Amino acid sequence: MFSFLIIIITITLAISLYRALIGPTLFDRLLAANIIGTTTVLFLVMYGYLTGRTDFLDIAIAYILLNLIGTFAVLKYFRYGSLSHGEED
Amino acid sequence: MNKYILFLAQFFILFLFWYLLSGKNIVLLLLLGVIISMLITTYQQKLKILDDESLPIAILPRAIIYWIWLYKEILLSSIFVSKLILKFPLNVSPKYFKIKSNQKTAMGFNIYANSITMTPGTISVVTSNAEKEIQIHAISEETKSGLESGVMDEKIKKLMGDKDV
Amino acid sequence: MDIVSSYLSNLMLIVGSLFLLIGAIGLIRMPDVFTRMHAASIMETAGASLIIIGLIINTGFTVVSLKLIVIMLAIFYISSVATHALARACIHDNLKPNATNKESDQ
Repeated sequence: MFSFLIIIITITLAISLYRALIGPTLFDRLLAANIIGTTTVLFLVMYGYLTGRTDFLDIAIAYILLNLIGTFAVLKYFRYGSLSHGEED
Repeated sequence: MNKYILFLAQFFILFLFWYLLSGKNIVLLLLLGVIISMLITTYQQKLKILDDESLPIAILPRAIIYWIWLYKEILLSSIFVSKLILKFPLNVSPKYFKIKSNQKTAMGFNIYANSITMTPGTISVVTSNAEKEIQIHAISEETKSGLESGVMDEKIKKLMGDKDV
Repeated sequence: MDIVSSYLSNLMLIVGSLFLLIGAIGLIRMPDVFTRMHAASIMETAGASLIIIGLIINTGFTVVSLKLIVIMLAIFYISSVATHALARACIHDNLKPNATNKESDQ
């Protein structure tokens, strides 16, 4: 059961990666990167269940927070032009 | 809400998170967790960032009922959007419109906008709290009319109660 | 009882992975950025939460299932906030959604 799910999640990751490669605008690529982050969290959880080591859940919690920070950093960069800019409007 | 109850609730949440991440029943680790949670909570209270808006435990029992309703709604609209995706000649007709919300508090407005985004089929694009107005991108006519019927707005108003944050 | 919970968890895992696949297909088929966001939000809410609820039923009530609940709540919160930020950045970058009855000029 878990190996079947891992195959499905890998197919999903491959399709999202294809969208990230061909995406016409920048925001398509960002959306695909966000999806890849969430799917990787699911992959980590599932891999932990497959190998019977639940330590992978801690890695998944850390990864999901990094995913949020990464998306926000890129969005802030494209909104203000630099990362050290404050809130203006 | 009483500030001692807030203090205890925040301490309990922090300690639960500590226990979740360590997961071992060693006395030294548990003692360190108690000390660190106590220090962080005291510091938060000194900074005066521990109030009803940052820790809304007063609406928690009603919020659980609301979450169950929201989850049912998420599943139903997921099935709807899935049918739309799998239809063979793809015909989507997106709508872009404004909607007024009659939430009184900033927190209710925030919950409303987040719930709209969380439901597949509708995305809140631009929000303005001063005019209580949200610009929404919907994927089809059905999700638009489902949002304009105002069921979610009423539920959130009932969730917030007579609170005045 | 054990058999029932096992079947229920397997059913939820299969339905969740089906939602993941459908969302990925939508990510390819949809015509523009905003409609792709709807497909992405299926994957992030329905797909992820059904898979994690299936795992919780599989595990029973332990520390592991509490961690799974934390992961599920974090995915819910982060996906909605990130989708809203992305949509707002699109509008800010003058990327207009092509809607059929656009009522506003913003």
